[in-house]
Amino acid sequence: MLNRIWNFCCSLKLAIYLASATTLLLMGGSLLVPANWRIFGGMDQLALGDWFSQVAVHAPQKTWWLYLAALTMLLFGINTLCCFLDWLGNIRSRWRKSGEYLLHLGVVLVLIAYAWGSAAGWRNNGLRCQIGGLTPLPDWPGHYLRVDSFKPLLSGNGPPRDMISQVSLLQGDEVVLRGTVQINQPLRHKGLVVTPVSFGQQPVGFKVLIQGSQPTELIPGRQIILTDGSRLDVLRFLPDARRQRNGEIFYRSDQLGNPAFELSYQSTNGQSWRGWYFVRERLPADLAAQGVKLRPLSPVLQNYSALTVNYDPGASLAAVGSGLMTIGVLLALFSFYRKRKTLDRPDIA
Amino acid sequence: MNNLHLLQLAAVAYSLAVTGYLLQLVLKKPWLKKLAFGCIAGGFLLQTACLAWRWQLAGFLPVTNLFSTLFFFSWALAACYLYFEIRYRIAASGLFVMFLNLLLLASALRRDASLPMLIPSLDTPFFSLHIVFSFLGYAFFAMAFSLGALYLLQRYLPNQQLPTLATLRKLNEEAIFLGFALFTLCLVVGGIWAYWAWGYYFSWNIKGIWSFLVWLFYAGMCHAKFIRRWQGTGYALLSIAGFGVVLFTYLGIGLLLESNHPLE
Repeated sequence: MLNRIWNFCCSLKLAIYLASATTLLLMGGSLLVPANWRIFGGMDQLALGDWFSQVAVHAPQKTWWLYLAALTMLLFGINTLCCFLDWLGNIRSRWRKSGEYLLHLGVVLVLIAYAWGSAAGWRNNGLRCQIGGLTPLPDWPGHYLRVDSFKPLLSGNGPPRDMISQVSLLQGDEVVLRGTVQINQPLRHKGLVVTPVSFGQQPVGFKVLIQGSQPTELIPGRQIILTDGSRLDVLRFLPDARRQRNGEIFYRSDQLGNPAFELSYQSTNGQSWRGWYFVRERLPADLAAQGVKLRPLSPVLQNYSALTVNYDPGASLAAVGSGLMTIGVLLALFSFYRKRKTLDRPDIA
Repeated sequence: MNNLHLLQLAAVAYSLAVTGYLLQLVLKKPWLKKLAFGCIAGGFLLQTACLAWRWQLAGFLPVTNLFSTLFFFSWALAACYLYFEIRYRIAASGLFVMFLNLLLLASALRRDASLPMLIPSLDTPFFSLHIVFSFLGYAFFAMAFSLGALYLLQRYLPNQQLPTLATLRKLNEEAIFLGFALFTLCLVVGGIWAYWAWGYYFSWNIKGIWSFLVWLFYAGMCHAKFIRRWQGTGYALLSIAGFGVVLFTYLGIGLLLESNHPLE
């Protein structure tokens, strides 16, 4: 009985049926991809497990084929592993097929690696990292990315030839990794991979004239002592904010649209105020009543480097699997030509 | 003289070769076969010289637009044909491959042949290897299609001038095996390159899915040859169907659908 089950698991026909089922499912399903970009367009931006739980689950009628394909691929992987183990158990009589079976093992390892990376990995696509600033990694609490310097290599009118970022990875205050990120030269560390995406400038505050004196930059964290000794603290800046009817303020985008500051004011006589100042509108009446005068001049722009930060714990295993596949293919080719030379060459006139 | 003149001469040589093989089928003169082979070898040398020239001019393997991929596919088909001809003297059995080659060249020669600027992420030996393995794999799959079609022809309309069914079957299996081996290397190299360039080794873009399908289909075929029911006619039919998958992956997706491997 056990023998029959084992033979079924190693069966060549089972492999062909599973490969055919996966092929048909992916063939049919993939034709839905271009027409449903909102569902499938972000598949590369998320680990597959996250995509299933965040996107696919909400569109089962368009994504069911992927669940089935994942199942058939899982069974295909088990079948391939059984074939490999069966060969390993009979290696003395079947060693000439080493190439083919190393290829089997390589495929199994790559499938395991992909499943592992899909379940336990995460992806952050195009994180905008201000030069010198700390960018928290949303999926890795307590870890930050800091771009210490950035240099684009430009080429005439075309796309930049390279984008070179010196990057540090911090755990709390401690630097755990430092290196350079360039096109085709990512920073890699234990499954973490950092690649460049783009670069640009984003507004981080505004240059203003305060009480008609010298221009001052209003950027978050800045504390300004006014001429009468009162204090203005810049708490937050939103490049494009929206005020709801109930007075709540919402972030809209990173582009300069309707910029707003959250400010805190402390007068010398102990009076205080905290609220939002929309640059396109008048100064809030409470601030104006204290004699504060602000005149916005121009946005303060800061360079950023957009980086993709992915974590895939299975990447090293996939590399081993790929290596085995390559060795397997080369051995299989060698053994094929050797066989043709000695035994099996077709007799053609 | 510019590099395109070499390509035009190669197209002329391939046309002469096809004509030679067709005449040989009718007139049965051995020297026609030799002449046709000489034309293909000459055409291949001219095309290789053109490829080397363009490579030297560009500073990278120029395979980034439709003209250059058609050109490179055609070069890979000629190389594949020569492999089978030198090894097995298949002569007119590979005519389909040479017809396809001429079709690709005719389509390429009508297009803009200027060398495009290289996108920085493509500026890596991994990309060049990915393309070389990919098109060599496609060429062997095209040869398998040709041999599969001939197998069916020989089976249902026997012809003394065609190789035997057993030979056609073995040649077909060899073409599938070599194509699969090369395409496996293409996927491995492509995966490494994608990981280094974008941080993941498999893309769920439709081109990525169909490339995996091509690999899975031919992996199945490498196994199917061991099952009696699928040997012979079944295998020939699968070779023909498989090339349909290859054509859709190469041309259909690039031209009809939106993908990260656009053809323009």
